[in-house]
Amino acid sequence: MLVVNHVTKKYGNFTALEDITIKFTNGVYGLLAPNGSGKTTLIKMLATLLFPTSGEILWEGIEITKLGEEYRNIIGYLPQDFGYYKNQSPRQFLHYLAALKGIDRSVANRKVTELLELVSLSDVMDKKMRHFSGGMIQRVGIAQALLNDPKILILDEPTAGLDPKERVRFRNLISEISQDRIVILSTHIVSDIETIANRVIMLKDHKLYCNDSPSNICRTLEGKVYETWDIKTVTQPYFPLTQRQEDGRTLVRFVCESDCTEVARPVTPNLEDVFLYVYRDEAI
Amino acid sequence: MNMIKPSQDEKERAIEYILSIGLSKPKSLWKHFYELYRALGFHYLFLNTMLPVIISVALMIGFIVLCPLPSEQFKNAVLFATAPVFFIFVVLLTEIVERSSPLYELKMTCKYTIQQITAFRVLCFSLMGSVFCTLTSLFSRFPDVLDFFRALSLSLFALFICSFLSIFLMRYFNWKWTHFTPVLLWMMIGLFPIWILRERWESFLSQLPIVITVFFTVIAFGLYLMELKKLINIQQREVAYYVGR
Repeated sequence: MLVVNHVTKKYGNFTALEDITIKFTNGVYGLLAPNGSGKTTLIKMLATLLFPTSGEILWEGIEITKLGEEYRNIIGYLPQDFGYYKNQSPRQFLHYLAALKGIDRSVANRKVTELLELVSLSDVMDKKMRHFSGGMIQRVGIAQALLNDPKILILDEPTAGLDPKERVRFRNLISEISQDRIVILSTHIVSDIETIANRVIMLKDHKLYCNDSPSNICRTLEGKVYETWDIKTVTQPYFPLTQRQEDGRTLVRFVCESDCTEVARPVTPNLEDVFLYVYRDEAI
Repeated sequence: MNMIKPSQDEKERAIEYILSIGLSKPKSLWKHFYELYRALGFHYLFLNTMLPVIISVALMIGFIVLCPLPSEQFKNAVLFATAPVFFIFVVLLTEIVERSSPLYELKMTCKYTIQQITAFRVLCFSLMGSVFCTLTSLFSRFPDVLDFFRALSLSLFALFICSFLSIFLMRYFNWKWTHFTPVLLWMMIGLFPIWILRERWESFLSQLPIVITVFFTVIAFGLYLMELKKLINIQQREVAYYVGR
């Protein structure tokens, strides 16, 4: 079990994260928050790139900084700006990282081939990566993160820059590999985690806002989300969520704390509604 | 006395941790390097370092050739100033390559971090620096063998003391631009005495007893190895490059 215990991170006078406590067990965790809310700081602390100003991060009861190499052996990390050597092929690149991860050469040979097949790159495994699309590079990134069969897989904004088709493919891949491990996926794109996360962690004002299942989080807005073709008829105070154009008319989805059933149709809230409502005062 | 006492849970966790570590002997510096070599081989350990090595050798040769001092009269002072040039610049350039690499962050999360690889490279670069010191001392054609050994030990002392202080600075200060400080260090140790003292510096160096120069070279080498061991064992280090970005 990975435990983030009362962790605060400060950069000088600026508090990036304040008193965060989270327990991670096997499953997919979606770290959902707007940009600048401390997601990447938390991810980097879990990857031992940054250390808490106060509090501790424990793996099986032991502080991860004390574990050092032992902890790095069980994590797989995909950074937000995943770098690679353009002149290397995926196979060369993965072999290099396998060596850095201390994987035996014979095991690495087998693992590299397996993983490139898993991420559907076996047909281009010897081509230089300089010609690869963003999605293909991201798949190489996933493959490298899985090289050591990590118990903790940390993915920072893994779908940034991917087209919708690649995003769906990526989600399917994460679902496929999420058995028997902790997958922590940071994003501000709600659809990325709506379908695959067992739990969603939301940060607000640099503090933990909630850590719950997507359905429980959606339940917080139950009976408060409506849709209407004629928003002018709504007289109660409301917060607009989304608008959709259809046949020259506009369907408005909104949150209203009071009953609007007479003028609008109640709908089942989704994670995006909660996200937009919770972060209504912040730039998303 | 107001002492903060650990809770029972903390005590148990600490005991568990100590037991899990057991009584295994801590790895020696050589064991660390051997493991690195076995896992990565020279190819991966020195990936993308060819250009920095070539530039540093060129800088060292350029410094000797373009040095405005008459090399015959300032043999010891020039050798003393030249000795750390290759090491200082090759470490600086390889660090720049690593820190500006898009893979830096990722490499710091692997079993063998770029910090450990840097320690291995530093050792190899200092060995190369020693070879260059020997060659430059040989090419200086000292008439007396004692003068040759004095010059060699002086240049090795300059190399190891600069290496020791460079690693100390890199290890102790986690600034974004720490890797540039060894260049300043070299200017202070190697160049300033020539600029300020000129003939008196050469005269001082050429009159030092060999016993003294060898003694200080051995001390500097010992300090350098100790510092190298500390560099490879650093656990608590943030990736400064990314802080505040």
